[in-house]
Amino acid sequence: MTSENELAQWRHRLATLAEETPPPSTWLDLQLAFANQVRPMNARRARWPWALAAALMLALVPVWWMQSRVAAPAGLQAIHVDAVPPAQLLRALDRELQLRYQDGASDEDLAPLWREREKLLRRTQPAAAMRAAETIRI
Amino acid sequence: MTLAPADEEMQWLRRAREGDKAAFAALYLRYSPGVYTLALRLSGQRSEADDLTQETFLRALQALAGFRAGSPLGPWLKRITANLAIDRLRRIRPSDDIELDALADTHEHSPARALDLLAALQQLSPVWRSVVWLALMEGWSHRELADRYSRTESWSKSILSRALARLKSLSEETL
Repeated sequence: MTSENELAQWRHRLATLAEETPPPSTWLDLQLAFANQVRPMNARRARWPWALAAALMLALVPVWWMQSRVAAPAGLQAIHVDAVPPAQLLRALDRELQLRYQDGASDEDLAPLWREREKLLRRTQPAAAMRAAETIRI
Repeated sequence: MTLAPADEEMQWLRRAREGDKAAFAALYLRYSPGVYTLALRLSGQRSEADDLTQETFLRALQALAGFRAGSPLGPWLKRITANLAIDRLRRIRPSDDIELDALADTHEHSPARALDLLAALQQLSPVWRSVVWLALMEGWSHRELADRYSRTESWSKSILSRALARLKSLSEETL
């Protein structure tokens, strides 16, 4: 077997070999492959805001159904409206938006989420929503 | 605020994964020489080294989740390159042939003059060359080499020893 000293000498000799640079054609070919690879990845990523928006809508359907079907006493109707705390939905949306921004999502990817957010705000606090939307857009 | 190199590279990798060509180019410019050189040393052929280099960078984008944040990117990329090179080698040369291939390299070589180190390396079989390079220059242990080749540690030690003896004789042969 080879001694440690001998291995060290070989390491030293091999380290003297020059580093090679790939030919320009490698980068050209790689760019094409890169474009082909990231396009499907982006398409997959772009689908998630729609899935989230759909999930939010589905979550709201039973609440809307309960509100429209249950003849609750007048005093309780206010409680039903408050039973879906929009602030909670807003927080969830904001969290998602923040995470997606950190993840580098594009404005186009995030547009559906922003629309959902604005709709939610408008439904609960129309005047405040407009102000908030304006502030955010600025 | 300036980012630490590891954070900066991580951002490049993330942005490249999002389709940012500039970030991908930055990664390529920094790491392609190391990756290409390793690919060339392991495969011994420039066309193969080209393919391995491209595949390494594309795999890195796919395997981003497997990269530990904060750790250096260079060794991770080289690990991908080495694994790809060994996979190719094993596909071309099924395990049963590895030993035969190694034995074939013990035949007498009769050069007209002493070979320089690079040319001597080229005379080794791809398996021998990969063991030499990965063990000595990339810090792979015999356990790791044995695992990748589905062999034993003593096989790896033996190949290294025989390959170095062969390298020595090749580079000492004179007119």
